[in-house]
Amino acid sequence: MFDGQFKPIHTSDQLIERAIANARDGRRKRVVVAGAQDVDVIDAMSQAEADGFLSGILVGDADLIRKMAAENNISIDALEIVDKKDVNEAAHYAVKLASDGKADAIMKGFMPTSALLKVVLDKQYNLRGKNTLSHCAVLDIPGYHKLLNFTDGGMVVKPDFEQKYQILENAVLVGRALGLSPVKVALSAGSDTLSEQMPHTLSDIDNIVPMAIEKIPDIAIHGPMTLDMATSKKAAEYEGSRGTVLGDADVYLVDSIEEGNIVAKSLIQFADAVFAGVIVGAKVPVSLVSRTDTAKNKKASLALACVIADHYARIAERGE
Amino acid sequence: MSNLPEITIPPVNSYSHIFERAKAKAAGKPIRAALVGPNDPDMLTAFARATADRLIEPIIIGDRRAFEQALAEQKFNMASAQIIDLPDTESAVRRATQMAANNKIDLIVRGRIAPAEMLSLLFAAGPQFLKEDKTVSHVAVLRPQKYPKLLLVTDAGVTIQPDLKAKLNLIQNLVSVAKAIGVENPRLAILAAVEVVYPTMPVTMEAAVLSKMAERGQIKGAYVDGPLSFDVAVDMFAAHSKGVKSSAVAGQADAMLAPNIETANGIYKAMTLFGRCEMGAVIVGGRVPVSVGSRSDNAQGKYNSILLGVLTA
Repeated sequence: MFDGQFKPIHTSDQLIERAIANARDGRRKRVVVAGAQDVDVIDAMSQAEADGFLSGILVGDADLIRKMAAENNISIDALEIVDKKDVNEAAHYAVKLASDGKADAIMKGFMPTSALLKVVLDKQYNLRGKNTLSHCAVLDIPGYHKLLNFTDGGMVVKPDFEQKYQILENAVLVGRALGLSPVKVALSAGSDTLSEQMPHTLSDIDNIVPMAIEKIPDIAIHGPMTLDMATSKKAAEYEGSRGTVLGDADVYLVDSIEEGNIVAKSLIQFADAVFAGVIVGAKVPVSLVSRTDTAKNKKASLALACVIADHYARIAERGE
Repeated sequence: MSNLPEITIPPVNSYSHIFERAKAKAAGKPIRAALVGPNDPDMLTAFARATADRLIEPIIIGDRRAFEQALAEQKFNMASAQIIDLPDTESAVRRATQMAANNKIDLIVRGRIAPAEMLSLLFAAGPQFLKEDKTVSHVAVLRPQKYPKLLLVTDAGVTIQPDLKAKLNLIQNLVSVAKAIGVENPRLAILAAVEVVYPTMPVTMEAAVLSKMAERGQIKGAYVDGPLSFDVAVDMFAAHSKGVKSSAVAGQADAMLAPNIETANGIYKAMTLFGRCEMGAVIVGGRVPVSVGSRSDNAQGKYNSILLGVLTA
């Protein structure tokens, strides 16, 4: 947990500023790219390095990386390049760097996500955490007064209650890294009432909530609720409902990959939400960007990975 | 990416077009609309405006005193409204469904009644509201500022977890609403988290089945493609970046089928609150349509829902 030395991060700009401030304080994070022959990834790394919040190690086909950078006028002088032409070899090399403490975060380059994660979870590297891997889509939505973490819209297809609890723990960890206290979690549903026809609403209340309250300090959790209850005080007032999470959620814990993915993307497409995505649950954060991400999204994603990595580092420094 | 194909924009592509169409339809004969539970100020405002615009012949079913009080506060002229004084919600909905069954009204407008309660009362009305061969479903019509056309989304309000058969019924209702508002042969995206088929993701497999059924003529009146992720459905650049190129739907969807109620409701609420969207919603498939505003809609959103009700009546 944070000792309150940081102001909570409520916007994507603050997220990027924090990553830069950490670097300035001598806590610059090292991000290693697995399979770096991907022009969007090279570009994002080059910019983040220039912004001063990370040192980059590009592991991949060195000739191709240099060619792509030259063709697209991307400066890679400040980035370290390690020549590993075979993507699987590149993945193992990158993950080993993280395992040896020589990299603080891993970024996916030109390789399937599943192939990279398989290596991350390879026991020999000791990067597995106790939880399942889950994806957090941290959105900065114009019109909402704080960041909202949609999870899990990227990894676990239809979580059972144990997976959902682990997804929750992973999201709380991201909340801590953002300096939130308490972390306010809304349990998503298609309506605001418990319903046998929506079995997850019952399981959430019977299983997730009591476990969260018992085991996770400094959390507020409430549900079932629809998105407007979670993000709009007006909606809560209309229903005469009260609760610290209502209209003020930090985490929107969804019940299927479709819900998390589709709703977050609707906000990115039509509401100009800035999106920072990260995979958590391993001992280092794993970042991925896609070519359809804007430059701002890519930067925010890398900043998020760095801020989370810094949170891990502080926990380790305190010997927790 | 430079040579992205042009997207097709139907002639009806905004709520002002929907308004013109509703006006033309009501010109001959205003739609007999019953507002049930009139003490929702925004819906009352919308209802009064639809009356003033001569779209509807207003009938109020609910608490007369509360209605008259609300009216005095809002200063509408609703002198023409027929008022049926039934303060109790259950009786009010029952009366509305009776009137629908007896062809006394063409449209129900939901005022201040919780969506779940309204639905269970409509279903409780049995054959007075339900039709034997029809599914009741919720269709939202969005017009995001950042999208050059209307976007229909289902089902944010009725069907919790549709199976394949239910999805076919939802598609049928979706297509009929599209047609009613003037979007012919809508490009319908079957939404998923990804745009490829994975055996571990049943939603993607059902989407693929629906696409194939459409290809074989088993779904009529729409171009259907899926699985499509949200961005691939509405953004041609995303579609091409992700390799979905020869699709009649990708990058230019007119309509979307979400895999479950949480997803559709999430899109609807996200767009209502943050999407800079014009929007409205209607429940179709019963004897008469039901215009439904969300609690987070403003009066304009509720007025839009009445327009959709007029066109689907």
